[in-house]
Amino acid sequence: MTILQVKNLTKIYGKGDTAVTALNNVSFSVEKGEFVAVIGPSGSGKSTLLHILGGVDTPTSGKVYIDGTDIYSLDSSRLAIFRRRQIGLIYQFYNLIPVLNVEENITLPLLLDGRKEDKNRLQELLTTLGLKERAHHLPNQLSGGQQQRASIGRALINNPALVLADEPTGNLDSKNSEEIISLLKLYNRKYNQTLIVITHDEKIALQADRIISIEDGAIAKDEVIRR
Amino acid sequence: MNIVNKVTLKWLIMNKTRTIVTIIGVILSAAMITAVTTLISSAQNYAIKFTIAEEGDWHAVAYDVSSKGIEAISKRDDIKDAAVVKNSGYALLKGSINEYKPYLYIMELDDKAFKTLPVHLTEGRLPENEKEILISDHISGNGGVQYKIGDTLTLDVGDRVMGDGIVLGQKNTYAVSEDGEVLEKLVVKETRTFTVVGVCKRLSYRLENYFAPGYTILTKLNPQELTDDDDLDIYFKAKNPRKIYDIADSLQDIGENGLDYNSELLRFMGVSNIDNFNTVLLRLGAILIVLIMVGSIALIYNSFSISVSERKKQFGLLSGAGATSRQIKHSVFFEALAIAVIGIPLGVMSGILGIGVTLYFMGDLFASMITTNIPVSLTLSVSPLSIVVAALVALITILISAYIPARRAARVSAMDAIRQTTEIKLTGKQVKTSRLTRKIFKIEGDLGMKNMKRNRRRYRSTVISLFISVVLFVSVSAFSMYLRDSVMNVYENQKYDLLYSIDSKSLKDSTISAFNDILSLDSVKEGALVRYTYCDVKVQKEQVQGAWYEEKVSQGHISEGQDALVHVDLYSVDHDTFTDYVRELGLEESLFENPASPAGILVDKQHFFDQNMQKYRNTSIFDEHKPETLSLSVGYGDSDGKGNRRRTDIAIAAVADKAPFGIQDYAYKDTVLIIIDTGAEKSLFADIEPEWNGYMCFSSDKPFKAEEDMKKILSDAGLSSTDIYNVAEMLQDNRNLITILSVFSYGFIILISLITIANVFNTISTNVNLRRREFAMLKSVGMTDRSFRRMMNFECIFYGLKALIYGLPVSIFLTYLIYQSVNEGVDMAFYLPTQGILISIACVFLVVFSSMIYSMRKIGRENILDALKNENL
Repeated sequence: MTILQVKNLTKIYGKGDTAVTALNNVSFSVEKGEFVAVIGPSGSGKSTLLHILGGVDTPTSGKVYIDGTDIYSLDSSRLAIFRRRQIGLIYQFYNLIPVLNVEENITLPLLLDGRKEDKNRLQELLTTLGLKERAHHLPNQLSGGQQQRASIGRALINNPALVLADEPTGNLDSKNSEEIISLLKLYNRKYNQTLIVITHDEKIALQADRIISIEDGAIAKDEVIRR
Repeated sequence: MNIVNKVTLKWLIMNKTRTIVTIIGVILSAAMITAVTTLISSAQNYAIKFTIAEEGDWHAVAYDVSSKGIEAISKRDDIKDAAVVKNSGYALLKGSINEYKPYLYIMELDDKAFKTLPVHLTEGRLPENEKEILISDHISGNGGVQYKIGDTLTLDVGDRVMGDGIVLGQKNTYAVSEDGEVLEKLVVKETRTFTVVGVCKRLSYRLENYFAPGYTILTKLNPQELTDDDDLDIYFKAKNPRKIYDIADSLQDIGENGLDYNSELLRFMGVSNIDNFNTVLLRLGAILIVLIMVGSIALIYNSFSISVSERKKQFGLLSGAGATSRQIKHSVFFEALAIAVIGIPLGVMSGILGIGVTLYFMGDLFASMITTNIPVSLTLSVSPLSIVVAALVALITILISAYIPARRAARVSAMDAIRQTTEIKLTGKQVKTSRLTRKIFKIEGDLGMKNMKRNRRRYRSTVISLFISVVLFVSVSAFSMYLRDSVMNVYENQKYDLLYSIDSKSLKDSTISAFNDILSLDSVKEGALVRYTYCDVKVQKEQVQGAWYEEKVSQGHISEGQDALVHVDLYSVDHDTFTDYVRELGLEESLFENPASPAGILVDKQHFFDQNMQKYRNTSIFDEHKPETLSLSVGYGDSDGKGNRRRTDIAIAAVADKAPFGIQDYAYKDTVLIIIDTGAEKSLFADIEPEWNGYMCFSSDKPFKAEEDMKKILSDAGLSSTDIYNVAEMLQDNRNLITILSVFSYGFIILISLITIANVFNTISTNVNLRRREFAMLKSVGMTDRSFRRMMNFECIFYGLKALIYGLPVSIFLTYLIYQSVNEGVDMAFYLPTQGILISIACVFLVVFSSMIYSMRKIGRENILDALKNENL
């Protein structure tokens, strides 16, 4: 089942002489449960791609279908709702809300939806993420690894169609990096969670099912590692 | 310029909005300080001008100096503007109606003296030779003698001499013994003829005091004709005013009647030591300046503090590159100076402009309040000192504001700055909100509340400045509200606009006809001729209210069972007024037409300040059953027939709640009013003439026109016209005072509030800016614009509420204190300045919301992405 379909995606920043083409006519699709790593040098356009997939940036042209929905046909408010239900985003700098504790940060997409959290699911998530003892701590009382785990929790709480991670280990030491990747893989295997990770780290990329290399805004290579 | 300062300047330019808002704050604060200092210098200047207009433009005077003495003084280097006045003596004023002022008093002034002394021409011109004369309007107004320009006066001029040969001057009253025998006489020395060329206002008290026996007339002094016998006064100024006392000391023996100073003027000029006016003025100014400084420091400190915490990383990089903490500290002061260089000159200029415009519009109002006689208005006067002081105070304000942030910046270590680890650490407790918050306000409200709690420190200054503004605004509106009401309250009872007291005991025909003439004026609407006398009546216990009677007994005025004494203010009004009154009350006119039984109307209402209870009371004395007749005791002595005290019975035809036109509705304590028709006097007081006092009063749409018309009628009728009491004028003066106070106090509040607004704006916009990444994140996890706006709205509401929760109770408490202080003098109910409160509530939210909306709009324009990727904003 195709969960993500990208068609002729182009993104151009600026105008006229200063225009920079970040993405140039990119097309690909991802099946449900796939773990995709996107690699490429700095400025190749991989972050732009991820943000367009996540619905936080708009393409100059082209379409993105997630679970059959053309996300850029939605108005900004519908897109926001779609984002909180169907997309989980993980950033290099965690981007947790400083005034909310771990539990609240994780359940934020639910709270925004006005829904009650599923206690069992939350407990299970906290346990898996190793944050059970830290549930009532504020982000600044956590280590970087813990913060990143909390942001993974937030990305997963809604069982989204797609989890997008932008250099999730870029700010962490190797031990923490491994832990984070294991967690992501765990969810990918256990819940058949579709996962797209941008990374510089070849070790991480090699753990994925498929590696898409981007160069100069276009897909240079798209290779399946296993399966 | 060194590199650190260069970076600072670039930083200021980069953060344009905040820099501009900070500069605006500095401009406002410098403008307010300048306003205060220029107001002080203008007030001083006004006081000087006013004193010159009233007392004359001189520093000291030597009395009774010989012509040689005059020459000696005029030649001195340290003296300037010496003016000579010759006192030429008295002449009889034929037809003067003021029996204590039967003379004209002739003063001869040289050129300088006409400029130096306070001569205010109202008509015609100044005399050009010794044959021409300037008369004062007091001669017609008080003396009742009319001279016109062009009239020729032939006067027998001489000295007032007492029996023992002592010569009297203007400072000696008309010498009359107790039984009316004149003790002085006029010894004529010469006959002079003058032509009237102009009319001036009455001279100042110093030159013609209230009991002076002669109306001053002024002619030109011919210096060629001075002789050694002449009585000359010389008025002069010192080139250096501060030397005037030394100069005067050296001239001690030059005149025969000593020396005097224009001490008022010297005081206002700051020469004299005993200087109440300047002390009060300076103290008041100092208080205002301190208030302004506090308000401004809150703002300016806040902007520097924001700037420093934002520049922390920059400081870290600089110190990593080898900048010393001294250099970093200096860079904050440099930032302060850069802002001061732009802000202070602009502020000083706008302050001068602001006060200039204000005074331009209000100067006349002010002048008309102080005096109607002398045309001096409060105009802008900028002294170099006032500008220097204002600029210095503003600079000090800025440096104080920058001091703490600068020290904080200097303490930042390179590593901490780069890591930004010195930012306040949050604990869970700090941002704890109740479950109820989330229930009621949803996650958006909860987030808003948590954000407020997180930024408690940063927002403290916002909340404090909003608080100060709310308190100032509400209490000043309360103050002006109570002030206005108390003024209105005092004059409210007076239904008339103009009042003229009748001084004679019996009613003269001329008075009655003048009354009728005035009443027929177009400018007069209604009028009453009122006379009143005081009498007593004994009342039985059964006739009066128990409480009142008990009070008299308990106070020891009477013993139980005795008759009590009630005072009666008996008012006799002209027939027309009485008839109108009777009709207004719906009574039969026939009730009052029986000459055998004169009848009156009782008004039984008392309003007075009770010393024991320390408050105003409204009472009445008689019980429901109105007395049929009252036996009035009139005149002096006791009621047994000794003296001229008599009893007379008056029928009480009705009891009324109000008095007729021209009479107050209330009497003092233990007193009732009885109103009768003036026609009833004869039968009521058949065998006694009571001591009448009287007045006539009028209402008018054009009280000032009416006053002029009245004056003419009165002086034509040979009555004094100087003592018309114009209620409208009093009210006008009070209104002017209120307007002036309101303009200045509201102006002050508005400026303080502008500083507040700048402060709120800076804080909120910076805060929003710092949280860009957080907002972006919220959006990226799917917060819709709508719930985002909700969150921000909640945040605004919480800030506003916080300022109001502290501000309103304090302002209500202050309002109560103001009420209490006003209530000491005037009786009125406590009420809140609802309008002021509502306006302040609206403004608080308006300011908070608009700042938020502005800042949100600014960050709304940028992509979520840029914010997300940016690690350090």
